[in-house]
Amino acid sequence: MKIELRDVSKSYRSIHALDHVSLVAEPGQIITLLGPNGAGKTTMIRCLAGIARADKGGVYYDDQEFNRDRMDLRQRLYLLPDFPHLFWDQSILRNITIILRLFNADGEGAKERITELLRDFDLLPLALRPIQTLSRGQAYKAGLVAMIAADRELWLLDEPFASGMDPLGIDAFKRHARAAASRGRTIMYSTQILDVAERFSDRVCVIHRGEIHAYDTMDNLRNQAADKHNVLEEMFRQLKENG
Amino acid sequence: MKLHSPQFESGLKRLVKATIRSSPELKREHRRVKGYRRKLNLVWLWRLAISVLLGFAAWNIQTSTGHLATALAGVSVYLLAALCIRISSLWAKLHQSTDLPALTILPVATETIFQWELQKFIRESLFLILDLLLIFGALALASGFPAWKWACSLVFVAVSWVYVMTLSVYGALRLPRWIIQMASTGLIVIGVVLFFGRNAVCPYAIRLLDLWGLKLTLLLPTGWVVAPFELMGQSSHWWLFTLWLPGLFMLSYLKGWLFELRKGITYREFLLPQAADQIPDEDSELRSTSEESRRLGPSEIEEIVAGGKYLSRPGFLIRHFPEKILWRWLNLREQALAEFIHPNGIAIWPAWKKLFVVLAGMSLLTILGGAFSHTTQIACLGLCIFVVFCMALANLVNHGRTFIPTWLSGINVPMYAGYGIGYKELGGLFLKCALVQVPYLVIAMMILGGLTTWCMGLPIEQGFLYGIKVAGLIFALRFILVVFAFSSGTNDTSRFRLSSIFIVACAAVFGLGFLGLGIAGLFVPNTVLSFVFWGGSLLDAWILFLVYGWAYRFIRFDLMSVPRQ
Repeated sequence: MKIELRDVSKSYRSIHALDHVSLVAEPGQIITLLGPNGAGKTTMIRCLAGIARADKGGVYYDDQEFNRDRMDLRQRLYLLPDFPHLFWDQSILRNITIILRLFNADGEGAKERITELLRDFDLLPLALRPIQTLSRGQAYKAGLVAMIAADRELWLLDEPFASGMDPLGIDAFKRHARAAASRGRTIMYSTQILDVAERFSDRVCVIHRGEIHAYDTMDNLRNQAADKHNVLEEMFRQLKENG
Repeated sequence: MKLHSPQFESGLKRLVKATIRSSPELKREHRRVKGYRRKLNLVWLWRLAISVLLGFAAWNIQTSTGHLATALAGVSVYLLAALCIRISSLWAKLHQSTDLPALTILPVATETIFQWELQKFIRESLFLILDLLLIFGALALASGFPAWKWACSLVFVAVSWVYVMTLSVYGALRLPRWIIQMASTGLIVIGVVLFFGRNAVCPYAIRLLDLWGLKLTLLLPTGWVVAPFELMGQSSHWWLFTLWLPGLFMLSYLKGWLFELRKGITYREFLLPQAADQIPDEDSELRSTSEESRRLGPSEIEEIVAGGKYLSRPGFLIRHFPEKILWRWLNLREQALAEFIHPNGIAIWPAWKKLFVVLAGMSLLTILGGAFSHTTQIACLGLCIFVVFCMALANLVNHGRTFIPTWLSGINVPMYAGYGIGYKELGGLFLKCALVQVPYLVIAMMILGGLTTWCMGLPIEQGFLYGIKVAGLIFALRFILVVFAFSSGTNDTSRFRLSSIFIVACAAVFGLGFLGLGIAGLFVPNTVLSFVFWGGSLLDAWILFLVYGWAYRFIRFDLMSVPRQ
């Protein structure tokens, strides 16, 4: 699915969260949204998911204008917020079955896939427990299993690496995300961790004060940087110096 | 309507269980985390008990007065309370349900979300059918109806339920929420007062109902649907059936109302309000350009920082006299705690001012009530005592944000536990806050005592004395409520162990001791002895506070509780 933001602006009262942002993402890529706190990363993800409506400009999927009521397009993406929105009084299994049903993804082979994912994320023994009795990392992993099992064309994740997941969970997520990207899925996630952004992305999008300051592959960014070993750190320093 | 596929879920469950069984490692892990057990849901039992109680109440009203109209007036009042609760519930389901955040990010049409929440509301409202079955059954039993009239009662159950549901939709659509909340809270409070003070209050309430009977039923919209039930008894008012016409009229509008209700639900982004001290809002920007010329040089924020204004103590605490006294009395640590507990300021005087206004109004109502009948006066007095007592307690027991539970990875942690704040210092602060309010409490209780004895035809000085004693007891209750507040955020009694038994035994012994000594302090005729008992009850509450403080320090239970299922 081709993803496009065309001149998107979004303000919260006097704060310009996104300021005339334009971006195109081709399928099969892992895109990292990088930026300081309050840069507009989460707002961009919300706009892409239809949770926030752009004040100006628009979001386009395969050149079709997207809004909250376009259920056909919403069926093609999945948003996982940093604090997953789940049915807290229901078990992990019930949550997954509800979500898969809503995405029409509970067909042939789904049970086996879910069981395998639960095993991968160490959730099998906890599968019948209500989400509210789990730790934050476990709850996030439950949301992640539902996302991977639903296997939409666009995965939107807000701060997956600051979600309380254990290293094995992070590793499992990376593996599944890579496999999904190779199947043509687009994975877009936000993070503050520069090491992760450098190693786990096909393209990096640096946002600062609601504007895109860089959107390129890591190799190209490295070529442009003076300090080849600390590309993103240097970029952050410059952003701070330039205000 | 189900959001998931039950067949898919059961198949998945079987597969998950089979996978766990097939691996010794997973089996071990499953056994390790199996400690969690779904608790028995006692809500059903409670709700059933309430239904039985309502049936009994209806039966009791009819047998004690011998009038079906009186019992139906009671049913009308109950249905009004049920209606208010249903309206609040429908509104909450549509706008505040815990499912909404999850459903709004999933590809679900708003129509489906509406149907899902409406279905939850209807499912929850099925208890009302049980209430109505038992109420009309009790009335039929008390009236000695033949079989065909019993069958007709079922029709009344069905019609009443549909009527209340229709009115709920209308109420959620048209009526302001605060009115419904106030009405439902007031009616619930009356219900609680009737239950706990049944021996003292119920005879008066039944006499009032008997006095008003059919008039009350005709006055209340919820009475129209039950009024024709009187025709099953001795009544010959055939026109009562015409009261069903408004209901039928409303039913014809139900579809349209549901559509309007659905239209009113629009998705909104969940946003936190912008901190006013960080970035000026648009209005203030406009003000700064229109009213004042733009300044050159250091900004206002820089001036505030340079002048150390941000370090000055907040204005709210020194706005009124009691707050000023309290602030002076607190040491530096307690001042810091006070700001933590009440970040927006503690308002002692405004709360008491409100209480005195209510007390004046309700006293006037009680005095005027005497012009109608003594029963009306007593009913007004009872309501006045209850409302003022609750308000006084609420003013005194203001914990601010101290015990607000914060969800943290599967457990609830009270707000204070996240910081280095202890039992003794918090208890001391609460005590000082309460002590500052004692003069207001004593004055309010003395007025209330004087009013009570005046209504009863007793010497007014006796009422003042009662007022002082009651004020003392309310103040002592503060200690006990602090203990309960601390206990509610811990797992001190959640497991069967010696320390839990000790804490429960202490709470029971000192709690009952406080109750017994307090009652004796109020009602023992010998003045000296009554003061001894009264002082004993204050001491009892203080000892419980100290004992729990000791347990808090030495037993070291967890400062967390597991959320209720």
